[in-house]
Parts: sequence; structure tokens; C-alpha cells
Amino acid sequence: MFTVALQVIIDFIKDILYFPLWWYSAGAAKAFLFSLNKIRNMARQLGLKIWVANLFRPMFGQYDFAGRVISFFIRLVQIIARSIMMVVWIVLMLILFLIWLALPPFIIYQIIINFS
Amino acid sequence: MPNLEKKEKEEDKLQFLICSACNGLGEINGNVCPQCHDLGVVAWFNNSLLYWSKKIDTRAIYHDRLESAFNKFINIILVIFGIIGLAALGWYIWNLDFSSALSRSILASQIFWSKLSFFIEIFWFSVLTNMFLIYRVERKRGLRAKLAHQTYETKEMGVKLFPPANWIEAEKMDKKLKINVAKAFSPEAIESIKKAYRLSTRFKNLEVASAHLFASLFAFSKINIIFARLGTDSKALVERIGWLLADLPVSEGEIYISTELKKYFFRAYKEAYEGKNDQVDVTELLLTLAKDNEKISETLLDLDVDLNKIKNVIQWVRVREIMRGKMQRFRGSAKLKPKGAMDRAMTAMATPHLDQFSNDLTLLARSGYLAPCIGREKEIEEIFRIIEGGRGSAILVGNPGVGKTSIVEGMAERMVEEDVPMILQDKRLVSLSISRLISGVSASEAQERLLIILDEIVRAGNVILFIDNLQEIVGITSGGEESMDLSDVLAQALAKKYFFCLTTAAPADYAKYIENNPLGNVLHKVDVREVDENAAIQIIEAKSGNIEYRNNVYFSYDAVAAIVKLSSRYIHERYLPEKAISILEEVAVYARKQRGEGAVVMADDVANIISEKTGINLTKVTEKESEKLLHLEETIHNRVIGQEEAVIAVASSLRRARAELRENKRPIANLLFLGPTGVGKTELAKTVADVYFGNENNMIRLDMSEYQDKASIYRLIGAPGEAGILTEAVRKNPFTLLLLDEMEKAHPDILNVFLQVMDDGRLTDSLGRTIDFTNIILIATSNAGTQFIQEQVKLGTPGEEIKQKLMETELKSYFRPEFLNRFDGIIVFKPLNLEQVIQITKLMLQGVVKRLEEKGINFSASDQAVEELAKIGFDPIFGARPLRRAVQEKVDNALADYLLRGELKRRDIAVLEPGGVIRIEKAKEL
Repeated sequence: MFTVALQVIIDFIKDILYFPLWWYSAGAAKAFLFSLNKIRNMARQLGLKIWVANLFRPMFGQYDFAGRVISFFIRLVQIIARSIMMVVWIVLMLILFLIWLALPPFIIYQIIINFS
Repeated sequence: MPNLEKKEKEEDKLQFLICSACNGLGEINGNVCPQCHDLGVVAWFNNSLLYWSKKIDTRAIYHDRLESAFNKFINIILVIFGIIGLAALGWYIWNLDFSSALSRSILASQIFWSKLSFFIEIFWFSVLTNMFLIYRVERKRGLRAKLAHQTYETKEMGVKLFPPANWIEAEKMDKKLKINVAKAFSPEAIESIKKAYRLSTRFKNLEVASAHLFASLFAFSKINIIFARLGTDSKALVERIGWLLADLPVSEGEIYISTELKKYFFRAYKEAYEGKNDQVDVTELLLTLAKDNEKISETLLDLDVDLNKIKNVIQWVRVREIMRGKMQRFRGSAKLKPKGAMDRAMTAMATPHLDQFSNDLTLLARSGYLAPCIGREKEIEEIFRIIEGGRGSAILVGNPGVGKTSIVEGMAERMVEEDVPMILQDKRLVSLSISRLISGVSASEAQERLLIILDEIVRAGNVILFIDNLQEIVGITSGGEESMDLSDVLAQALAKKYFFCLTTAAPADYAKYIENNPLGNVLHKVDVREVDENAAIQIIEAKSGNIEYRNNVYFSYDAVAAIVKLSSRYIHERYLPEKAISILEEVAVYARKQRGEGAVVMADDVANIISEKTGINLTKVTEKESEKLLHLEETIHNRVIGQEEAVIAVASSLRRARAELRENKRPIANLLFLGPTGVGKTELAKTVADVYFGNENNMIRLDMSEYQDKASIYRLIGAPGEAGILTEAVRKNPFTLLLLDEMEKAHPDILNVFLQVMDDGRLTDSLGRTIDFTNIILIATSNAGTQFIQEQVKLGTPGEEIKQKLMETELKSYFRPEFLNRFDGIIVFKPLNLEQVIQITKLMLQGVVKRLEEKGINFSASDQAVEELAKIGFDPIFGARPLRRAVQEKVDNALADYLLRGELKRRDIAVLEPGGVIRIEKAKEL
């Protein structure tokens, strides 16, 4: 039974050694997908596509000239505002992903300088 | 043996290659087999080579256990360390001196990060361990392989590969084609195999066999839930598993997994693959054992569990999981649906008039008020096709209760999820109430309302209109010759195709009001048929959760199956699944009231409820009742004297029906009673109605002498547009005795109608409804050949011979041979003799006794007096018929006189004496 215990320990050590490799391969992919998913959800929520597609359609069924003009500009403002929100969100999510990538060296750096 | 062939064909899909060197064990004398390299058995399935490479022996089990404990230990340590790290950070910040400007800037600036401290060191280290924890958890999740399912494309590629012929070929095979089945097994499934191994160690069986695996499956809650649903007697189950295990050979030595069991691993994989599951779970192991292992399937059959039941229950458990997942997804996407009348593109406009007369179904669905729609994808897709194809609007035609509204609600739900064609996305489904639209106003005002509403819908552009029971809109007109019908207004608007409209109607209403109306031209018909029994079971299963929760009871599978089976068989007028759902709700309340909360609803509860509703005895044949059934002849003889042959024939047909041994496509029994008048034909029929249908009045009695001309057929099945006497009676009460008196007098064409009834058990009335005759007992009586019977009986000819002669000669002039052939029994009633008439007299006097008992008066008759009375009442030609008159005249009349004169009082005894004298014994005054 000692050999079994030994094997478990060896497996654990292998596990530790694989950790950094995983962090930058499968783990990174996972983190990236996570960010991407968040971005996608936000895109759905903002409905930017719908706004762009309906740019020239008047709002609230106001098909007269004034209605069309006002709608166009309101939609434009909406699109711009929503685009800004979208960009901010994308940047945030990308930062999150970059943190994932930067975390190991940063922590090791911190541990080293604190240790000394 | 078509069954066997089918089985073999299925086996074709899973081809095993068993190592010849090691006999599939994977090792020879403790060493790895040089030919198969420890695999033993592989299977070829669906262009892949399945293999099992997880070692299961004492060492491996020990290893897994140790590893799992060790991993848990490590994870706990990591979590604790994470908490310590946070605490260290907190402590560090707490101890900062905030009064100094330096500290404030430390917290805010970069110095914080570079300031050296032991606590910060701990914190950073804990972040690292947290990362390690994330890695461990995520990686473990990633290791579990999901079953690779064929997508539509891979199926279409259609390159047929051939299985390896030997182990050398198998080894050479492309790695991509090899699948390690063990990886697709769920942790529970692996655990069950380990348990089987331990079990065989305990029982000292050298081979881990399928019986061990079967027994070990019961350690898992999933399997126990399945068997609880099946309503299996757990004691009997444990006992039988014990027998299975006791059957296995016992010996000492190294325990190994049998080749037979390994094959089941692959079969379970196949089950999971075909069931489109992500993993092979314990349920698949159970399924394959019940399916492919003869001993286990026999054991289960003994417990009244067959494969189909197991499959349906597994499906039940799965449906719940699927619905839970669906609900979560629904909630996620429902958030995006706008709350009001406005669409996301903001192009719509307010519809105040429409809102006044309608309900917004998408809004209701969004808030979760609509019940989920199950198993109606086909109809929903058809509606989508109609709308998407630009064909305009649709009408769902189906009987009430088949689920028309449910389909529309299901559509509303999909619209909330936006799981619909482009053209329906970002739209509202609004249900317009016709009754609200027309109430309180004249036809022209209603038209005005409708026009305004339609205008609003067109202008808003995001409304799909739904009108339930469209026929209500037809015929609403102000009455003038040139005035328009309300339905025409709608039809004109729909013809322009500015918006889509969904409507519903029952088939009869559709044919009568809509088909030939302008509306019929603009609406595309979608037939909504009654769901079949299996689909209804699934719907019931999906609905059961909510009802179980509300009543705190549990449905067994048998109960669910019985609800569908019995309601479809015995409740007419209503349709599946609605009628089954209403029974489901009722039965849950019934079980709770009977046995309290936590009760299990069994099939008998369902039978009880349906018996109550229909008046038919449906409960399982109990011991008491089977006793009664076995002695049915005696029961009948309590009322009918003599006529042995007839009574036996009737009794045995009733027994057949109650034991469910009869053909289900014909009436319970078709009997022809032949014989002179007054010998007990009608009496026997009444007795049958009493015994089988619970009441002697539960019969439909038709005097066929009233149907002597051809035209009278319309009275039976109804003139066009009208209901018939016979069909309507049977439709309203399908469980009844149909007594056709004096059959020979009916017109031959009418006999043809009954030909159909007796053969197929159904009849179509003039309204096009098919009436079910499979639950009736048909008894025809006839006086045909009476003369002949009487003569032959006098000559002493045996009964069988009389019948034979009768059919060959006398009856031919009345009935055609094919008509006579349809009867299950032709029973000749013999003329009564004096002995029997005396007994009948006694029975009749019993009736007098009963009537007088109510008044507190006793009545008795001496034997001599009875005989005298019998002689008066007996007539060789009219049988026992004059007897009733004799009893009336000689007994009832005299008693009535005494009663009126006040000479017969309570507690007095009236005695009928010879000579027809009634003597009164006065009781003592109290």
C-alpha cells in the first residue's frame, strides 16, 4: 500500500508542475472565453445591432418628415452612447483577461521583494 | 421470432472483439496479456473503437480512495490558506496609521504594493494558492470527457469504416477513432463498478458479474428514485437480488471483472450515445442490464417492471432536469424582452384600444405565468413555416383539450426567448378576447372597435394577434342586408397581410362557421391532433412535478401510465392530454386526503377516481372480488332460475372481460338469447347489468320491432345533423348493456349496422363521430323458432342438438349466417317446467316479503300455497309471465285490502295458506 501512497504523492507533484503550463494554455483559453462571453452578453443587452439596423426607421410609428428627422438623430445619439458603453465594457473585460495573464509574474515579483 | 432478429440487428451495431489469448480478461497469470495489452475486450460502434482502460481491482480502488481523500485534504488546506491571506491583508490595513498623510498615500499609491511586510507577503502567497485552487477545480472539471455526439454534418459524411478483424489491426487504428469509454463514465457510474467489485469480494465470487453491478446500483439515489417511481416492493426486490447473488459460484483467488460485465460497459455507452447524454450514468447501466441481461430482466419482470417502464421513468427524471435547465435559460433571456408594448427597436407605438380588449401573452410568459409547453414542437414549427413563408395567418383546428392554447402559449415562450424566425423576433403575441370586444355594444359598434384595434396593430407593427375560438366572431352583424359580418372585417384585414394572426377552433365549428366563410380563405389550417398515449405520458410526467409539490405526494409510474391509459379508454367526450391532466390533479388530492401527505399515488388510486367518474369497476381484481367472480353462476342463479347453459355462457364472458383477457376491439360480449317468452331472457340481461355495471337499470333497451322499415336506421344513428338514439345513448354512457329485444323483427339493413358493432366495436353516427362500443355487452333476444324449441324440448332432444338444428333451419329465414357468426354465444333458453316455476314463485314472494318488511309486517307462505300459486301462474306458452299477474291478484290485492281496512298492522304476521287464503296472526299489543 506504500506504493499506492507514493503514487498519489507523485501525481500531486506532477500536478503542481503542470500548474503554470495550464495557467497559460487551457486556463488562459478559459479566461478568454469567459471575457468573450461577458462581452457578448453585454452586446445582447445593449441591442446595438437593433439600433443600427433601424437607424432610418422612425421611432414610435411617426412616419411624418419631422418624426423621421427627430428619430434619426435620437437614434444616432443612442447608438453613440451605447457604443461608448460597449467599448468601455470591452476594455474592462480585456483588462480582466490581461490580469489573468499578468498575475503569476506579478505575484512572484511581489513575493520575492517582500521576502527580501 | 421477429423479436430475436431485431435484437441481433441491434447487436450488429456493437461488435465485440474479444482477445483470444486472455479470453477477454486482459491478463494471463497476473501478467498483462501480450496480445491485447490489458484491454481484453473492445467494441466497434459507430465508426469508433471503444475500449475500457480503467483498472478496477483492490489496488486501484484503494488508490482512488486515497487520492480522493488526499485531494480533499489539499483543497481544504488551500481554502484555509486563502482565508488566512485575506485576514493578513485586513490586519495590515487595520494597523496602518491613517492619521498620517503618509499612510493615506501608502494605501492609495504604488508604495502600497512595494511596501515590505510579512502580512503582505502572506497575502500574495495566498493569492498564488487561490490560483492553484482554481486550477485544480477547473482542471478536474475539464478531465471528465463528454460523449462525442454526431452532429448533423458528421452523419452526412457517411464514410463507412470497417471494424478491425484482429488485435493487430485494432492496435494500428487511428488514435482519433479510439474512445476510452471509462472517461465518459460519470463518477457515480465508476463508483457503482467499484462497489460491484467490493461486493464480489465480500461474497467470495471470483468473477465480478452483472448481478454484482445490478445490486450495487441500488446504492445510488437516482436508481432508488427510479424504483420508487416504479412502485416496486423494496422487500421483494432485495430478496430477489439476494437470489441472484446466491446463484454465483464461490471460490478463492484474485478477483477480476468478467468479460461479460465489460461488454455491458460498452452497451451502456451505446445507450448513453443513443439517448444523447453527455455521460454514461448509473441509469444507462441499469438500462442495459435490464435490456440485455436475461436473468435481470426476468427478475424485474417478476416485480412487474419491464424495459419500457424503466425507459419511461428514466425519461421522466431526465425531463425534469431538462426543464430545470430550460427554465434557467428562459429566465436569462426573458430579462432582455421589453416589459411594455414597445419593442426593442422602439419602432412600435402604443395600442391603448387593443390593450383594453386583450392579454399580452409574451408579457405573461416573460413573468413566468404560462405553463411550459411540452412535445408540441412539430405544430409550432408548422406555424412558423406558415408565417415565415409569407402565407399569412393560421388557424389551429382541434378538439377542446388537445392543447391548442398550450401551443400558442408555447409560442409566446419561444418568442420571449427569441427562439423564433427572424420575422417574429422582437414582437408581442397578444390574445384578443372576442367576448370583451362585443359585450355591451351593438354589432356596428363592435365593428368599429375591431377596426380601431386592427388599425392600431398595423401601425404598431410588432403585434401578432391571437384569437381563441374564432367561431365566436362569425355571425355578428347589424342585420341589414348590406351590413357586414364582423368576421368579414377581420378577413379583409388579414387578406392584406399587414400583420399575422393566430386563431383556434374546434373541428366541428371550423367546418360549420369558418371553412366556407371569407375567413377560411385567409387562414391556413393547422391540424392539432390528440396526442398519443406515450406523448401524453410524457406531458403528464412533466406536469407532475408541480402538482406533487403542491400536494406533497408522489406519483408512481404505474399511476401516471394508468391515468393516461384509463382516461383514454374510459373517458370519452374529452381529449388527451387535458383529461389526463385533470385526473392527475384530482388523484393527487385524493391520495393526500386518503393517506396523508407524503403518500405515493398508485395505479389503484387512479382506477378508483375513474371508477367514480364512470361508474365502472376498474380497480384491480381483489381477492374478494375474484371469489365473487368465480362463483358468478351462483350469484346469477339468485335471480334467474334454471337456464344453466345460458348462465354459464354469460358468467364466463364476464370473467374474461374482468380479467382483461378479452379482445379490446370488440364489445365485451355479443350474445343471442333464443327462446320462448317468459323464460328469463330479459331477467338474465338485467342481472348481468346489475352484476357487471352495478345497476340493473344501466342498460339501453331497444325494441327492435320499432325498427321494421329501412328508414328507421336514421333513428338509430341519427338523421344528417342529428344525434341518433343508439349512438347518443352509447356515447353518453359507453359502459352499459345493450339489450336488443325481438331482434328478428328488425329490418335486415339494420342488422347490418349491428354487424359492424359486433365486429369492430364502433359505429359512426351521422355527425361523423365515431362511437366506441368496446365496453358494452350486447345481448339480442329473439323469439324466432320458439315453436321448434318447444316441440324439441317435449321430444327430449338434447340442448346442443336443438341449437344446431335451429341454426341450420329455423333461424336462417330470419338472420344471415354471417350475422349469427358474430355472436360469441347463441344461447337457447328452454321452456320452464313446474319445478322451476315454483322456485320463481318463491323468488317473487321474497319480493312481497321485502316490501312488507318496510312496513314492519312479516309474511310467510306454506309450500303447498306456493305450489298452488305456481300452478295458477304457469303457462306452457307464456312461461313465467302470467305468474306476476297471479301474485298480484292473489297476494298483493288481498294484502292491500287488509292494509287499507287497518286489519294488518306493524308486527303482525300474514300467512298465505292453500286455497289462496291469507291468514293474519295478530301480534301482541305492546
